[in-house]
Amino acid sequence: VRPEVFAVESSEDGSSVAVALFGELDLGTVDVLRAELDRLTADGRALELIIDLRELEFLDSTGLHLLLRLNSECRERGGSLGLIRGCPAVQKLFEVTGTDAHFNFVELEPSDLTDS
Amino acid sequence: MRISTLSSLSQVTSPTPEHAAPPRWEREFDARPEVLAEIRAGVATFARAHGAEDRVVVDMTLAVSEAATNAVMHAFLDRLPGRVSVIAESGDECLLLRVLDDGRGMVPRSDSPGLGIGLSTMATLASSCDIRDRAPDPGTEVRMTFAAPGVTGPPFGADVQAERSSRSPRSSGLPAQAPGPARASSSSSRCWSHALPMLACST
Repeated sequence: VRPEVFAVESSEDGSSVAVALFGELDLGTVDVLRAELDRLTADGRALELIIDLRELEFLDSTGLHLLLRLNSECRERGGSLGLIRGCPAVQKLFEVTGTDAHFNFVELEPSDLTDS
Repeated sequence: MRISTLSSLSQVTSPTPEHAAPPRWEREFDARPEVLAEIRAGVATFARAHGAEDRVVVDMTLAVSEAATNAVMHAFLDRLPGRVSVIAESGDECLLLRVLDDGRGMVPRSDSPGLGIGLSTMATLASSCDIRDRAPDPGTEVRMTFAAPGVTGPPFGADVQAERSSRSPRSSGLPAQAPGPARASSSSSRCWSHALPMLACST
């Protein structure tokens, strides 16, 4: 994966994890996010996870599928997943698929959030 | 209705005076995930060059990405990656996208990493969405049209006429440039009937 296309940055503070996505998340880059999420969730603990979509320029169905699965996993473990809204191109996929109702969209900065 | 006559594509390729941008853009790619960003960028550039609103550019970019993703993921599941072609054309208040692959055709895949979402997204974003076998050629063709206020260009000949007649009970034969005899009479509803059950499974 060319780093100029997509990048992930995460920061952990106890069970609170903020993950910022940059660039374009699609079939060609989704493995980068999957690997990072696998690393963060490997120990099976409950996480309060915030994913920041503000710097994401594109989201496709494979990326959405990963977020949906992550959402289920977080809830099953007693944690939570919050999303910080992205640009119109990113929000469009949530809207047309009706999946925006499945997610908890949060409005605050990641550092302001310890739960949702 | 602005489309009323059968005409072949060769008759509608002259540029309009309003836009210097060519009325047609076509590129062929290796069917690999790495080309998806390039496909999106090409379609977005084409749409913007023709004066499409941001909203339309967003819709087309997402739709072409999903169509090309299907080709990359599914068309070459049991064979070496082939080629995927993307064609964009400008029309009268609309833009047309075609995504063609030379793979094995549309076959359900039980381990789909998101196919149901992708197909229903394409069908929702586009004004019309049509998926068909390219028989007798191998592969699948996706055709989508997008209402694009402010875009000028020649009315579509073969493409739109064929889509309209495919929905009409008084279908009157196909233009000479039709890709093959497999043009299904209910191809638009096939798009939906494929998409909806799989969406239900994947969410």
